[in-house]
Amino acid sequence: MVNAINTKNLNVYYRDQQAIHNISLDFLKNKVTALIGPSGCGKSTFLRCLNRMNDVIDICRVEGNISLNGIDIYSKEIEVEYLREKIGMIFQKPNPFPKSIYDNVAYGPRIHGFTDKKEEMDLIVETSLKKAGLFEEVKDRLEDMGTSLSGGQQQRLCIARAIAIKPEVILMDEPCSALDPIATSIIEELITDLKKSYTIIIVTHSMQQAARVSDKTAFFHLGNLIEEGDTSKIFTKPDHQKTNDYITGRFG
Amino acid sequence: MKHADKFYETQLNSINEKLVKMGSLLEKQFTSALEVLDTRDEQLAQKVVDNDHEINQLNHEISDFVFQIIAMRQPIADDLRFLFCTIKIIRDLERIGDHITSIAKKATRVSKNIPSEFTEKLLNLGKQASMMTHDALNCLFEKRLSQVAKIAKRDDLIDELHGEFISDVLAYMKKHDDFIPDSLSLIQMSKAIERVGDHITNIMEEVHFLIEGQYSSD
Ligand SMILES: Nc1ncnc2c1ncn2[C@@H]1O[C@H](COP(=O)(O)OP(=O)(O)O)[C@@H](O)[C@H]1O
Ligand SMILES: [Mg+2]
Repeated sequence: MVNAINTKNLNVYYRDQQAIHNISLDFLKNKVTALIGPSGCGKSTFLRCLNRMNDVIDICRVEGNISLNGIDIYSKEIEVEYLREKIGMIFQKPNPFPKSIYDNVAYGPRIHGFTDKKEEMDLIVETSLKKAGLFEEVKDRLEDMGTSLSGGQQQRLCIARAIAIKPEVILMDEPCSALDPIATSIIEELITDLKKSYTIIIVTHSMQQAARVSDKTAFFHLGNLIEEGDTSKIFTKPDHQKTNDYITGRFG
Repeated sequence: MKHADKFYETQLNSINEKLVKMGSLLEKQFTSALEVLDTRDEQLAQKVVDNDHEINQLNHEISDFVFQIIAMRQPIADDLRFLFCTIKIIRDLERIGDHITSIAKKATRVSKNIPSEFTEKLLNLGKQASMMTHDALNCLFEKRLSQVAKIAKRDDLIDELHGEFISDVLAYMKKHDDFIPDSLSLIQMSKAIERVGDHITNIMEEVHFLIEGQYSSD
């Protein structure tokens, strides 16, 4: 078992408010890890650390170590652009660019200079859409606006866009919370499929979703990591009372 | 801590209440059946038979209810363990109820002239089993892990007493032809009590799972 990402003694502050308290958590390669916990417990903050998205928030200060394949993501060897290429992100609300379906997917490969040949780009777009399980539905309308798709399709388009730049890790922040049950199960099936090629870290509020898609689960509470382990263990016999109370819907 | 969803909390509580009710009914039935054994009171025996329906009824009610909750609520963690174990435990309770009923029925058919040592031995065996049932139910409701193995272990004593009882009855029967029908009843009652011990052992396994999230290795 190899770790794709390691975090060690991570502390995050918004001004003088501490949002993450000394969290050390590792993520296994080609596994799905679910981050669960009540709103405001720091899941998104933690997730944003992993591809340095917090850098753009002025008041946010990150301390501790984060490494991707053993290399410190804050070291000089790693440029932020490279990091974001390796660690893609999917958000709660699908956010396709106001461009064609084709251009949404081709955008990343273009700016990263993957190719300038039309046929090669066509292939990248096609493969990415296929991996995201969207190709069959949009192959005859690649020039339509990405925003013209349904919510579930838009989310898969965003996944295709992330995949197109060949990431190693995909971060997902409540990717299904705006989707209906069918669109949700399509994304969940996709996640299970994608983990063969990528390491996936997903924030979700649905306990059932965490149970369905993840191999590992980490429970956050008030910025602390309370417990992490095999999903099957967490959902049947968690070690900590706080975890048990949260996942079974008790006050806390 | 209580569930934020009050209705869910009520549903789970009501299952627990029904389980408690089933257990206390069963204990009463056991006491009555042993009294029938002591007194051959036919009316009391009939009462035991009648009350058994209530236990069967509770078994079905609880099953239906648990099934509904699983479908509607997708319980997890300790809630799931509780419901899962409940489903299995009520099966054993219901079977114990059947054995108790059969003891009460058979007891009325045993003649009053049998040697009193047989009645006494059988009563003693029955008391062991009914105490074991009582302690098992307390252990279930109070979730006392430290008691689980100890209670289950008491099945060995019941098995032993049952074995001895059978040999005694057989030895006596060989010398007294007219005792054969009564012997059969006595042996069947002893067997029924021995089976109760087995069901209690099953229940203790479930209680271990309920508390620990896995079955005991021994
Ligand atoms: N941009 C921000 N500026 C200031 N505080 C923030 C910011 N983002 C999050 N926080 C605070 O950090 C804490 C954790 O928030 P967040 O990471 O969004 O939690 P979650 O994703 O688990 O709901 C909260 O108290 C929140 O108010
Ligand atoms: Mg969030």
